[in-house]
Amino acid sequence: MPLKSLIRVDNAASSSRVLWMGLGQLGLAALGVHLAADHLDDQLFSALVWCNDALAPAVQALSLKGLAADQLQAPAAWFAIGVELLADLYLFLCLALTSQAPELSWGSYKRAISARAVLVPLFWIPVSLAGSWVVAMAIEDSLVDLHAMGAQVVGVALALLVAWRLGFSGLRRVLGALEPPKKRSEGWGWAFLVLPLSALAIRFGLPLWGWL
Amino acid sequence: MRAARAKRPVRGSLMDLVLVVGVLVAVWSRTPVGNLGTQGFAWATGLDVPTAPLVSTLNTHSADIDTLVARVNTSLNANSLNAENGALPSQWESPDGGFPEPFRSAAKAALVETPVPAQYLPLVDVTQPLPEQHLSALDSLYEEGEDAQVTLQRYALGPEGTARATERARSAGEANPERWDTLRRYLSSKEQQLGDRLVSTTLGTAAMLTLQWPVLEDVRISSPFGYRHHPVLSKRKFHNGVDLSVPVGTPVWAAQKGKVKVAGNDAINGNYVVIDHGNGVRTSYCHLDSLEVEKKAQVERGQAIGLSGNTGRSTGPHLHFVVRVGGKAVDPERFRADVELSGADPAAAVE
Repeated sequence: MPLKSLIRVDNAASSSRVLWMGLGQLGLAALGVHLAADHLDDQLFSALVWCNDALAPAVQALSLKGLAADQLQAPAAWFAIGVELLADLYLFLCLALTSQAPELSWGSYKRAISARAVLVPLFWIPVSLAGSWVVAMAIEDSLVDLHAMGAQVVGVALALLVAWRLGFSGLRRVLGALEPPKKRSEGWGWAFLVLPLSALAIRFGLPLWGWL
Repeated sequence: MRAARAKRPVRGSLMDLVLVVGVLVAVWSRTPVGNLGTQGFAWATGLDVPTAPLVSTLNTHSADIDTLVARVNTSLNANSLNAENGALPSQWESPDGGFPEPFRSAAKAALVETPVPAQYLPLVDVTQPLPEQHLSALDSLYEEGEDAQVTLQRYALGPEGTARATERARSAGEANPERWDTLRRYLSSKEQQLGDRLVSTTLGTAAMLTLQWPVLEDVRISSPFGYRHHPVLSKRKFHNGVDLSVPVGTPVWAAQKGKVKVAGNDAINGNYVVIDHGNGVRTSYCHLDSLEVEKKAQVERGQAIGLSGNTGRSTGPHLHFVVRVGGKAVDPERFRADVELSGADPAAAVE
């Protein structure tokens, strides 16, 4: 009897899947984007200081007052937040208006090949994996008072489950939704946003570098 | 591409739903999207929902920069803790192996409103004022010879939490896994906020308490902090530091240890140096004749960083000395025990 009830609840959850599955897939990727953006402000700050120093002679030539380095910290942080929100919007656009489980095959992907078709997996995979690690940390944080080692194991196990059930299904969904492009270069403009965040998600979002 | 044909129920949907809820809780508590959502909810409902600032700086995790600086000034005066040129006063030695100075005085000045972490409540007498509660907890946590930052991190996160966050930072291949600004990335937003208040504000306040005057103490201040009639531009203008009347070639000392952020030259500041002392505290030294440090150099408190001069927009030899806390210029005289300034400085508030 309990098994039958469980199957009934599972079926009910399945019938409403369209309402929440996309949210979970988007949320997982957004967690990874946040981890990457958290490192982006440091990089942006260094870049702004470099630009500020490089532009200083021109600013002086115009008799304008240059910016002090410490005045650039807050703009860098706000800019990183802007980039993060824009990346979240990009992910939302990738997921929006796609069916739950589009058929995916190598042939259909080849037909849809474009800048977007390359960027989407390049972005989705690292940020989903980084997001899964954030989930592992969150689970460990919430269970650590019960049993430290157990919390870590549960965290990693659930993160792998999340990576598979939400991350992988999300990847299938966004790739399956790709239409044959009008031009191969379609969607390349997003590369400026997507590639730096992907690189940061790979560099700081995978708990492997310390071991390698 | 074709849409899914399957109408059959998807097995494991209940598990997926639980995972989705967990992920959304993490998004809500850890990302700006969740933060904006919480702020929107608080605004829409009028409820007093605690929200964290989107961008965390010293301004946001201490009550307010002017209030904090006023407390620093009070602490300096009340305890005669003014740092003499060159060396820290003897009163700043650690009392009976307890949490050491100047971090002790800093915690007292900075942790006026921050609650004691729940796990350390059994160690404190809750009838005492909050700063005293923090100090008794820190005294019992402190291990002789330990770096005060490490004690503060253990205090904010607990020993296990510190080890956990350090291990995560190490796994991610971070260059400085022991530093607070690295560790904080691997914590929940709740832990981050508490840690920022306990660690960053206390360390920043300690840096302020031990700021050394960049030239001899008795040098005349030719132009104080605040609004003034600008001698070159001939108009009323805000003066973001103090002008110290010193002849060309006078050695200028770093007010505190830190990293040189800028060692450069421009038409207004002439040759100038900006030093980042960490945790939101920075000092600038302008119109120098020559520089003795390079960008990114690590400097010690009292180290000569250049010779004073008359370069840039200047009408005579002097040193323009600026102290910024959380990005805001504050009156450098507030970091001297013999100068009592009551309340917030209206000029600073206008800025």
